[in-house]
Amino acid sequence: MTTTIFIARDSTAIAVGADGIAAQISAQCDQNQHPVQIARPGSRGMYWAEPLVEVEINGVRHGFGPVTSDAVAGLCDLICPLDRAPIDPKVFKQHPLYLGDLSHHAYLAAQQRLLFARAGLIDALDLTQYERLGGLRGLRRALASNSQSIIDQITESGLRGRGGAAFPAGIKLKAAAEAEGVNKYIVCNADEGDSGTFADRLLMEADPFQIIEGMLIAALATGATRGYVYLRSEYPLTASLFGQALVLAREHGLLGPSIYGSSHSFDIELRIGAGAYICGEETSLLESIEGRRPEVRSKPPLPVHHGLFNSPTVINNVLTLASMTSIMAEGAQAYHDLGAGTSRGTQPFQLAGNIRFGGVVEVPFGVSLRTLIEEFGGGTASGRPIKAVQTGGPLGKYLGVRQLDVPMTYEDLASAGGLLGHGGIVVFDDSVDMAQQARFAMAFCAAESCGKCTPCRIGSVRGVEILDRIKTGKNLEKEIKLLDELCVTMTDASLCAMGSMTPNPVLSALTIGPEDFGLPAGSRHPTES
Amino acid sequence: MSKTLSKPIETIFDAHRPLSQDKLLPVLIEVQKISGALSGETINLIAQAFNLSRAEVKATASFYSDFTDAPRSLPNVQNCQAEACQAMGARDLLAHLKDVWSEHYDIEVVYCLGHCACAPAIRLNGCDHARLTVDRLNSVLKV
Ligand SMILES: Cc1cc2nc3c(=O)[nH]c(=O)nc-3n(C[C@H](O)[C@H](O)[C@H](O)COP(=O)(O)O)c2cc1C
Ligand code: SF4
Ligand code: FES
Repeated sequence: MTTTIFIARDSTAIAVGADGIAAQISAQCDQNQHPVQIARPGSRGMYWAEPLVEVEINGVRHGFGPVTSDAVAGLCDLICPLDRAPIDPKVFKQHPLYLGDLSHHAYLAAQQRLLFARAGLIDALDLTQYERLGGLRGLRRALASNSQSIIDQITESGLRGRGGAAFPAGIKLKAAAEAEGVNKYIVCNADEGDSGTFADRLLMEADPFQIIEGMLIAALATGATRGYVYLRSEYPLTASLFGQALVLAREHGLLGPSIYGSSHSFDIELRIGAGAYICGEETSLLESIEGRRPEVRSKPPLPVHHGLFNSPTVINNVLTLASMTSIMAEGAQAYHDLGAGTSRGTQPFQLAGNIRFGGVVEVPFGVSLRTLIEEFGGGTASGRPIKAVQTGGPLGKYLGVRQLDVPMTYEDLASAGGLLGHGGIVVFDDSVDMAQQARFAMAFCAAESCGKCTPCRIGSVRGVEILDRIKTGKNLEKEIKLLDELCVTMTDASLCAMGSMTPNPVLSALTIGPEDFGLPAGSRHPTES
Repeated sequence: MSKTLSKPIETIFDAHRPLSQDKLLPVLIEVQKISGALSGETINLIAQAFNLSRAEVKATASFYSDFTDAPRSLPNVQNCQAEACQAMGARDLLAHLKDVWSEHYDIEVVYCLGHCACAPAIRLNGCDHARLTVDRLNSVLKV
């Protein structure tokens, strides 16, 4: 009997050696004359365990990871023994990399996966497997209902945008549905530029049909006939897999002039960026698709009224659109039952940086940051104490150790001065120099500013200069005052969040680590940290 | 205008006709890929084909960090210097790259390759390596 072995085809898994491990195992199985089939699904998002090797025995997937090339020979003795000797899962336990039956592994069992329910379980490009594990149910229900009831479902679910601004998804759909215009567009924002985030990439690689299905639901809700997916160029494997998924979707009548034989037509074009963080901002993204220099547009008009090619346009993050599939499949109430406050449903948190068990943790909103970092993440990778945690990407605030009990909802994080953003969590241990992080935030803004407004374009450069002078220790009080003033100007007078939110990481770095700026510990707003 | 340059570029144009402005970015990406750069001469060709001013094309192309004016003479190493990689020693990695490898590689700083759970990361000639240490970096660059 052929043994099936699963090894992820996923950008990060490959970056830590998955392709090499797959080739080595395949060669070793040949040598052992043990017939195996090596399957390459997406990753489960347990990145700490990648390269993760799973062997399926009687329907149970036994995991081993992270597998290094030195470990392959020993592992093959167990999972593809010489001359088809019987495989005995009972001896797996003795292997130091054995993780057990993965469906019961604590890291996964403690999650509540809606978006990532299929990730790692199915062949990303097999529509039949997608459908068998619950795919397309949402679309079928959407096709059987009408625009208004789709909008009602999404609105009642409480779904908010997962790209950063957390705008209610139902309201956006409604506005686009009501807007005048013959050609309407659904644009999927897959620019995912925030450091510490990778959920969009993982989902596009592991379960691409879910995103296509979500875009179709948004199209049925608004009457849009064309869609774009704007993907950052840093993700070439994602582009290839998602591009193949689009071709398959067309072949199966999921995209094209008549969606599943209905009167609705919809097709999607995949667009690749060219290395610019600001293109994740929705209006810059539209300019980029239109082929102009992608400077941020002033609002109004809003994209829902005058968006792509001046037509009504819904722009949503990958995860927002994908969430519409489970809302339509299970109903708004089931989704709304999860979460806390006005943060409904689940959020894939992404544990990154100095963390022992980095990866995607999808749980309902309301979990504490500490639970995510300590219980799922296992604390720092270095074993040293945590000094700072940045949530919500490069424009998010650094939180100190005393703020880790904050519940992860939009409101609670906002009242702690933090940002949920796209769900990224970047952990730093006590070797971090907060003055260096503050300088980086200004330098990043200077590098990535679109240049349209002065406080951001020039202010960020001045910010770097001030922080360099602070490092010398001269005129400290005067320089800090200048930095504070500059931050007020940037916050108040920038057109978009790039300029207006860069002060978040800068000033919070000062609060958490004043000693790194040459100030006495606890000297900055002691009440805040 | 050199014929060897314009021929493959014509093929790219043909694949995207009609050349409305929204095709500009895909064309720039493909031209950069086959020629290794967007030279002044290429920008002229593209501007003509799209019926845009040279300045407009240049202003668009120069906005993006993926485009270069001249082909790189050395193999390219993109070193991630964004926060998650910083938290795992990316700055030391960059210092080491500059100290030891700058004669053999073109070293470029980028912000996030999406491997933030296995930081720090680099992209070497399009191939990614994550969970790096200085030793692992050396062994990756040696081959
Ligand atoms: C500087 C900047 C970068 C952004 N980058 C992204 C991004 O990479 N992905 C994303 O979905 N949204 C990003 N956004 C947010 C978008 O502007 C927009 O709010 C979002 O795409 C709307 O979709 P949502 O409602 O589903 O979140 C960014 C915003 C700013 C200001
Ligand atoms: S704040 Fe910065 S990025 Fe945003 S529009 Fe102004 S210059 Fe451009
Ligand atoms: S921060 Fe380096 S890969 Fe994301």
